[in-house]
Amino acid sequence: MANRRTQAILAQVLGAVALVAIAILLTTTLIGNLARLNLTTGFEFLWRPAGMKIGESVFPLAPSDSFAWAVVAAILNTIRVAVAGIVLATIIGTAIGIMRLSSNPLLRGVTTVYVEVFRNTPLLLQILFWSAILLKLPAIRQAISLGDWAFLSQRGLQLPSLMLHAGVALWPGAIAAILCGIAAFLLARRRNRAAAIALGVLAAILALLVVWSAQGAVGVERPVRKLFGFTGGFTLTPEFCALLAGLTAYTAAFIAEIVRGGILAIPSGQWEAARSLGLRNGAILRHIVLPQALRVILPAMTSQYVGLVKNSSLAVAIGYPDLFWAISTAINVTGHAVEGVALMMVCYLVLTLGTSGAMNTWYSRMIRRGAR
Amino acid sequence: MRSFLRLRALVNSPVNIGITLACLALLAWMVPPLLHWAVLDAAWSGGPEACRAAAGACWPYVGQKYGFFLFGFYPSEARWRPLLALLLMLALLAGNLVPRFWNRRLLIAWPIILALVVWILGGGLGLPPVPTESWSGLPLTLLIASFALVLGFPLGVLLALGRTSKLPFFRMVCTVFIELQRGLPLVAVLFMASVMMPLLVPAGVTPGKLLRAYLAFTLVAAAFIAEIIRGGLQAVAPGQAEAATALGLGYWRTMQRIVLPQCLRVSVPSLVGVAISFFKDTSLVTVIGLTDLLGAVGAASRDPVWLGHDVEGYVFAALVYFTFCFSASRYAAWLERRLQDGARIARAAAVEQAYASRLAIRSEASTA
Repeated sequence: MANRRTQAILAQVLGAVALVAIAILLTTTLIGNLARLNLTTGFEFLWRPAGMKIGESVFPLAPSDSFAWAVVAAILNTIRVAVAGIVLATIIGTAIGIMRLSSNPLLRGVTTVYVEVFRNTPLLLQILFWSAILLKLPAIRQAISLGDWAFLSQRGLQLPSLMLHAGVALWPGAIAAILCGIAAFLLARRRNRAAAIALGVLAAILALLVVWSAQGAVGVERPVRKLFGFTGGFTLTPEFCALLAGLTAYTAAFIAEIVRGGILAIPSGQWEAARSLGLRNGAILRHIVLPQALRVILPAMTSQYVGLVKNSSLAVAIGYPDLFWAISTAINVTGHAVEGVALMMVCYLVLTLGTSGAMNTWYSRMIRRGAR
Repeated sequence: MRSFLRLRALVNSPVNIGITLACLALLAWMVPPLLHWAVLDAAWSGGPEACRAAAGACWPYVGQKYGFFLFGFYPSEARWRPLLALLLMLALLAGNLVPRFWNRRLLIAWPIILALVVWILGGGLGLPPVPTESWSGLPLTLLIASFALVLGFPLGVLLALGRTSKLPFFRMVCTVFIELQRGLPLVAVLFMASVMMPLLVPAGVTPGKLLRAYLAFTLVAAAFIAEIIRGGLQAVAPGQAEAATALGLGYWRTMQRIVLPQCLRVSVPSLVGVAISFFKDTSLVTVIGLTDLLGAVGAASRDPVWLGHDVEGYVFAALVYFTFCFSASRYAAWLERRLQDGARIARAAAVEQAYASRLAIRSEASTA
């Protein structure tokens, strides 16, 4: 027994020595190469003016702003497309996963074709394809109108925007209404029906008051077509649209398979028992099957979400200014490869580990609640 | 009769009638324009002028360029070499699909055929040399994916053993490595390899782009394979390893003879899934300036003579990728069913045997 323990310690010490030796070897070579190439190290370059043109950003950004600001804008761009992609892919994927189990052969066929086509071609190909298609769309003057609410053209998607230019009195009412609504929702889940109805009614009254007092102040602004562009509404650039379409369509195909597998994993006795209690198919799915399937679905969903965050880096292929694009451009401009790579690693690890951490917390909380 | 019954589900309830109508409307909205673009309004022969005149797709472009799509910038007078390499790799892949061939000889065939492919593509020993920068197209796609999986597999097994090891040092190192590789986008790992590798080797050695791509893909593939093997290891009953230890087998013998064979059997379908995703992901090498199948299609679309037909090229590439990935995923599903059947048969046999031995014991007891 003592012999085995010595062996174990010896193996670990040897492993540690080997690891340290490799690390020292690589570091000395790196330092030597950097000295030979006259490359300076340090993160000061981040505060220098970037001079690169970022096509789109959530806050105004000039080329004279520093690299640090450019990276912040790029991170926000990555988060923007990733969040939109996760929400859309979850909705579409879940819907398609359920539709693939329909009794209607036509619906099953259509959704199966969707899943197989999008799952079995590379995401990069899909993004390039959407990008090429968007470029073939008509110019703004002949933009495709989607019911006069949105316009699709070469320059991207023009959407209506929510206008809020109201007095201060409006906000407390709106916030109170939302809080009441949330409280009513939570109480309803705890099956405290009387309190939930009371709060729901209160929320509705507050909301009505807000809408009444804000007549004319709150509105949806439609985009209006002009000769050389649109006024009103907001624009999603073609790069954003192509990337979002690719990420959504690709991930939704995988999520559809996960949802389908999760539903199939629920024993058919659950369906039969619920049916014998007189529940309809939709109600069975919502109240009996999906809550149980969620346990099977969530871990796989987490890896899809992390995958989507990582895949958003394919933005570089079509020139959407995301995190990877910004840092790799900064490296090419300044030559600070080591620092840039380190920064890129930290940023992506924070994003991906944050996503999976949040999902795992939710999952373990759900399991705990289920155990009680 | 049966197909008729199945078709009745189209209209057997108001909900299904509604669904059927909605699907038909969707198809009526999507299929005619697609049909017009791909067949009715498409140019089927002629040159770039015919394509500019046609409202639909330009198939002569694909007919003209498919050689370039498949083999890229490889010298066109020596196209038989990438073709031969491609056929060799396809034969190797086909050999892998047959469970009867899963033995030691297959393990030896992989490095031999890959070495042969590298020689055919790269030249030397009698063949005129071709620099790795001009290797492109589908052979490059297959080559990178195969290298990543062949080198990543042993590394992945070691990482999985390390992550499940009882020794805390190895567990920690392997966990950190796996999570690092899985937390970073493949594009970022590729870019890092291409930026950092020249700085991490002694001066004077310049690893080519292809080598950097191999390295990045191998490391990432190893991490993903390790996670699948770890799942397989968890599926092997702990009693197996305990029994082997009790018989006096050491750690490596236990793993090699008892645990890993059972674990790999369970993991094969998931490993095929990893192979599919890496086959698709090789398309990312365009980011570091290599020209794989997708890269060649993109490069062809920049030909000034045939400008504006990138979509047709992408359709061609999509068909090639789809053929590979779809058949591989069908294969994985078939394999999974077969393994499940195998497990069920084995379980039934075990139960039968247990029952028989109990009967034997009972009859012994009764005669005694």
